[in-house]
Amino acid sequence: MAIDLQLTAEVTDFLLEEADLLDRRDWDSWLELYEEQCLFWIPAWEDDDVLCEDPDNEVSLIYLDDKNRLKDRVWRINSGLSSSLIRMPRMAHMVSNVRIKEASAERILVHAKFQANAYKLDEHRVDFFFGDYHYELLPKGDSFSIKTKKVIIRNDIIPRQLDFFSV
Amino acid sequence: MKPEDVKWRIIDKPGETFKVHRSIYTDPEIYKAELEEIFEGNWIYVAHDSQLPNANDYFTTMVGRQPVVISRDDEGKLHGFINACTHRGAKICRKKKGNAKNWSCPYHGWVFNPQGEILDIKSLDTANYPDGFQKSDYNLTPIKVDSYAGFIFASINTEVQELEDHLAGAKVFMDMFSEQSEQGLEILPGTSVYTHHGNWKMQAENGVDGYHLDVVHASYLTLAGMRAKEAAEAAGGDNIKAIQPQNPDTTGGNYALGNGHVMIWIDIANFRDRGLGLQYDSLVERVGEHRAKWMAGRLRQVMIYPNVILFDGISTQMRHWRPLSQDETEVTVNCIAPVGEPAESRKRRLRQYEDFYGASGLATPDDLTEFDACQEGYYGAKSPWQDFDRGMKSHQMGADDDARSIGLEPESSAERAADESLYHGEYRQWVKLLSEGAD
Ligand code: FES
Ligand SMILES: [Fe+2]
Repeated sequence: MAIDLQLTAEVTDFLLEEADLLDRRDWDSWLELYEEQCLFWIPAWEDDDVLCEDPDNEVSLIYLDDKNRLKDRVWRINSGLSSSLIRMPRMAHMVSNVRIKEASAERILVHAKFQANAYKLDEHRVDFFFGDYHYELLPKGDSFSIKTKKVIIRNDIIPRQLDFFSV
Repeated sequence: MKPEDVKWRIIDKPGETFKVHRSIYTDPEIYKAELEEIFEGNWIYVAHDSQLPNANDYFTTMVGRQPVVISRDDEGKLHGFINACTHRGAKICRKKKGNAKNWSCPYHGWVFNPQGEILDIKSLDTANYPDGFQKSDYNLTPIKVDSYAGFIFASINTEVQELEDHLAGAKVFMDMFSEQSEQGLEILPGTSVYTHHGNWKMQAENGVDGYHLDVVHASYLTLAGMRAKEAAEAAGGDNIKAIQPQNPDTTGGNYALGNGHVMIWIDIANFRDRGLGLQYDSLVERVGEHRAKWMAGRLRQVMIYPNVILFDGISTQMRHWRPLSQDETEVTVNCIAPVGEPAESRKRRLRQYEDFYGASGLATPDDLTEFDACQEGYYGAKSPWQDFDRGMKSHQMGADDDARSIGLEPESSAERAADESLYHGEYRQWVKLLSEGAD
């Protein structure tokens, strides 16, 4: 299959922009990347190699099928009412292996790999999650918007906290 | 550890004060005694029936420090063993769960069956074992396993009392939990494991702590209110319907159930938004109005000492834990649901579960952060005592009217969910186990 280098570069830059907004905690700009009717999904694992792919019958770690639910999580950070979110971890997201799996005028399906490093101030400790991003992007002006972000975390023992900014 | 090294750490003067010394959360000697007497001397929750439903299914886990395997034989009977080969100790069952007629040790190939009997020793004919060698001496080392209402417990201590005696008053609530469906309960696929800084006893306290709810979970409760308002104004969709318990400072209650088991209950304002609440009318028809109210309308969090809580409130969760050190704890959580519930209820239950529980939800990370903060505070040894006196004046021994109405005979009853007197039951058991050993 011929590789669309131009599109791959544009999509990569878009994913890196999202990662950077998370690291810089620019939540409002981050939210703007998402469609109103979006899905942010982190499935749970059932067994060594079995991922829970049926969210209506199986557990997800995070399943937010409306932008308002993403806003809830941002609100929680800004509210000052959640003690787990007062000393936010210092994060650095690495995104790589970006590949266009399907592209049309309507949508672009993208797979990528990530490692999201967290320095936790309370615990004086470094934790990280790594795994896969599966995006459904919609073309929007000269950029994109996020219709779906599915995150497969491969090291799924959670050290105290897993939120949208952790992956 | 001698009884006198334990007893001074709890001051128990009924009607006057109940204090614990914070060294119980930090002292490595206490931790070691807890592993021996509580985690390896008593019954420990290990799994639910639905996690090993078929003949020859097995499930591996830890009891205290010790690796164990729980198996079901072809007659449906449960067995449990130390998960270590009797040859040179290699862990035999390596996966979390599986199904196998025989277990062949991956190291030198000895073969066992799910009843723990040794079937084959490789090259026995050329082994030149000494004359006293008996193959049957090499069966797997059994532990005690039993189940109640679908909940499976194990004990390293084969002299431990019968499970039903151990469960005491908790049985009333285990029955109530499992009767949500005539077909019983099932663990839904998708296990999450999380770790946190903080002694394991904070897990055993916090899940039955009504007092922290509106402070630690202020963000969750405020969001729940905002979402309800938003949905009422039809300004946005709300597929989750966050659950709103009533004020634990003034309502609900708690019970000490015997042998360290404790529970809290609080009425839920919007209980008809719950998975079982959606089926409320048919539930009333099946179990009657009063029991239906307890089952669907009332948050119940039942801690079965020392390592599991049955949550039936925000959603339905099994949460169990094991200590990793005096300062670190590992928690395993599952969503548990009535078998055969309608798709709409199942989906609602899952969304509410993910919303609140687990280290990826909107509530649990805040609890875990408090455990971390307490654990640090406990090292402030110059300030060593804390009390569980809240509610002492209204706390009564034996049953109150609510308990009697469901056939419960608790050790003690309290009239508000936020009262801290239920911890007396927990810590009296703690002292008893550490100073006398398990029954
Ligand atoms: S350790 Fe199992 S056969 Fe040798
Ligand atoms: Fe809590």
